[in-house]
Amino acid sequence: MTVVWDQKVRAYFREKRIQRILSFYSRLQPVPRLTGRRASMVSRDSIMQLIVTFICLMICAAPFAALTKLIKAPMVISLVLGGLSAFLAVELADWVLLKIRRAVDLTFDFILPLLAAILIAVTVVGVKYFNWSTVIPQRFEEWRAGVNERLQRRPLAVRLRKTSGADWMFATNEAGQLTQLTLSEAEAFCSKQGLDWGLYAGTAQAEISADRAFYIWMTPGTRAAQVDPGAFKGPQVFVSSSAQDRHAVLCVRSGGTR
Amino acid sequence: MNPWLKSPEGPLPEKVLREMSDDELFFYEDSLLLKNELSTEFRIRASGGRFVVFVLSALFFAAYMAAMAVFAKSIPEQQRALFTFPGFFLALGLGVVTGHMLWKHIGAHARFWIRSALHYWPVTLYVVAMTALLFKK
Repeated sequence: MTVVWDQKVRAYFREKRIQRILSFYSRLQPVPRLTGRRASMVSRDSIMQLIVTFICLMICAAPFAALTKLIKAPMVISLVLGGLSAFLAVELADWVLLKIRRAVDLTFDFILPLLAAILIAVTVVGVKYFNWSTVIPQRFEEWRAGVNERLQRRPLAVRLRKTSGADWMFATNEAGQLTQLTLSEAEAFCSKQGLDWGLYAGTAQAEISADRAFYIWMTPGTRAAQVDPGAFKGPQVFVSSSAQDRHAVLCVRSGGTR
Repeated sequence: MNPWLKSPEGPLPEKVLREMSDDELFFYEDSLLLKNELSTEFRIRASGGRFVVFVLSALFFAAYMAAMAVFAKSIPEQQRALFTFPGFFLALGLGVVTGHMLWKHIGAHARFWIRSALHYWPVTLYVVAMTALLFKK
């Protein structure tokens, strides 16, 4: 049994050596001096080898870790299993690299340069004939503003002891979470509460108690004030905002905390 | 075309490789790797050998520089630059040559084990870490 295994292991490493030599021949290509593809320690192959080995390490470590946990293996066995998983990861990486060698070479030598050339050509044509130099930044800005708004539309993850009092109230959704509105929406929301209601103007309001800091719209101007965690003793930190920004809304009744 | 590919000692057909004994294959692969580790002309598959040659060269350079610094102390300070300036390049050249020579003459089996330790670096690191833990206990 041991002899058979020994022969199998020897045959495996012999075959691996032959494949290594054959793959090595294909590497002995002329080196163009300008592109600098010289034998170096930080070559494309070394980096690929490192990345693939890391991936294989993660793939191999998971089942071994699970097995060690499952059988409640003693220290010595779990140490051996750990070493074995590292060894198998390198073997797997070697096998994968041998299989994808041609694909990797084709990708780096042909497909990526071709894609880069196409991208450059398309960009040049677009800038020259389709006014991309102004259209693309404009589209990017629209996309950025859209993402920003989508993020700000989400309710704030703040826990408050109370969301309303006798002469103050936060704008909340059905679930009782703080909603974020633009300045005009905030003003409209507050004036809807009554004639003497308006946006928060900066006085202390110890009744408000939050578990983390957040911003609320503040009048006058377009600025937001930070509500600190704990009993709110009035804003210390302010942030300049634009009319499109969204913040939580605290409405107060005049003559009260305003 | 790489001249080596056309030379008589160039690539062997797969059939010839398969007819070789284990030992012959071992030494043949070592000679191929060594040739390319010591050369900067060929593209080679990732081999730890080049890393070792670099480290050896750097170590020898540092050793020669240290030896030179000791010797330089005996030279009057005004004349020291005359010695240290060419000495730096001499140490660099000698370091690189010694590093390459040592790797070339260290033997195929030593090279094999060093290359394997670098190729199976996760295992090497694991063994080193476990040994360190063992000694710590």
